[in-house]
Amino acid sequence: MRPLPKHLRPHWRYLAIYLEAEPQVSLSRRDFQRHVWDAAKGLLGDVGAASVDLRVYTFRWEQGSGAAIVRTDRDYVSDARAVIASIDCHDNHPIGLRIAGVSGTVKSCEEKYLGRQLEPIEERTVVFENGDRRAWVRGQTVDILIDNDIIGATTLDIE
Amino acid sequence: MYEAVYAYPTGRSTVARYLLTARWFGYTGLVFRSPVSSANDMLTTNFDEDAINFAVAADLRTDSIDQLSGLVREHRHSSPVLLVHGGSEQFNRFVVEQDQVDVLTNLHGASSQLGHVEAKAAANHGVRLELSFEPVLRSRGGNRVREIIRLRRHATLIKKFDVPYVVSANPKHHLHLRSPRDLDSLATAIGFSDLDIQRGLCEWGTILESNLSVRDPRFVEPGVKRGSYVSSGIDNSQDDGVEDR
Repeated sequence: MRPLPKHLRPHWRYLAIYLEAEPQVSLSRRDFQRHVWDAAKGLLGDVGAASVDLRVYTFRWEQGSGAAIVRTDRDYVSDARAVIASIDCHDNHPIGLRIAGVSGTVKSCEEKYLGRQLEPIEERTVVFENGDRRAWVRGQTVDILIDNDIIGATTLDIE
Repeated sequence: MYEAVYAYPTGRSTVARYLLTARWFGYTGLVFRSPVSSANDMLTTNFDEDAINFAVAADLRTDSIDQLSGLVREHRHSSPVLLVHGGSEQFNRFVVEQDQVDVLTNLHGASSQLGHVEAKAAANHGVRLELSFEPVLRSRGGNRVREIIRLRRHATLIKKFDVPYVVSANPKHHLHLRSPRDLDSLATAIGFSDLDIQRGLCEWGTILESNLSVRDPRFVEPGVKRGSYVSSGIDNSQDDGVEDR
């Protein structure tokens, strides 16, 4: 499509989003864009999804944790929030999302809301419920494998 | 603002993990739903309690009205919040007429029935109705459409009869938590622009506060408590200063 003249172009807003999932989950930028579009179509319908026009602008993901910037139309920020909140899972694994903030430019969005550095993740054996369990530790958070299920815990819960 | 969640072993995250995540989302407290048949041993934590409030609610699940009466009597005094799972029309009508019940939950699904009679009774007896966003967040297609229709119907009854209500996303994992602002946007997107979602989230805290104040040894009846005028800041040297209103 040919670009519109500058004074007729839509005004955009950029949502800064923190993402979290279980450590073994692999999520690509394409997967996340697909989830965003499906969520928009499911919640708002084809017309609503066209109005809110969500595009993943930047995306990073590493071992169960990541961040993204999603672009939306200025007049549909509330609908965009609803769509992002309704993204539930990837490959039957739950995904946690938190919209850290909304900004008018990508640069200010990254500087204000996405400055948090991801801590390194360490796989090790921990004691939980009187048994040795395989776990992934990132800072204060611990994800423990019990019977093919990942339980979210913290360093206060393990011995 | 509070959220009511299922913690391990009922859910898939421990109490401490929920508290850590909820603080980041901006919640001031959490209510942990505990089915009375399961062990409550895991619902303790060494988490810093000054950072965020939390309480354990008794979650009563039964189909029998007789059994429910016994469970309510047994758990009312030990639990700061008493929740009852909804069921048939007759069962729900019984529950909303019990002053001792705090919240009627699980009003989604084909088996749950709620009409204007139950709504009026809930308003008269102060039993809150739960507006659960779990089906909107975690189902798709026809199921979600049906649940949104049911939610709108419940919201209409709540507005018409001024029924107290609570809001929850029913998280069973810390990854299911969503911020209050996002829940508000979701409610607006599905047609609840008139309903105050944040009020529904704060109502959990109101229930806790009122139930815990009733347990205070100084409490006599609503609006009356034992104490001295000096401690309450009122200077009246003529009186014994036993009551303050």
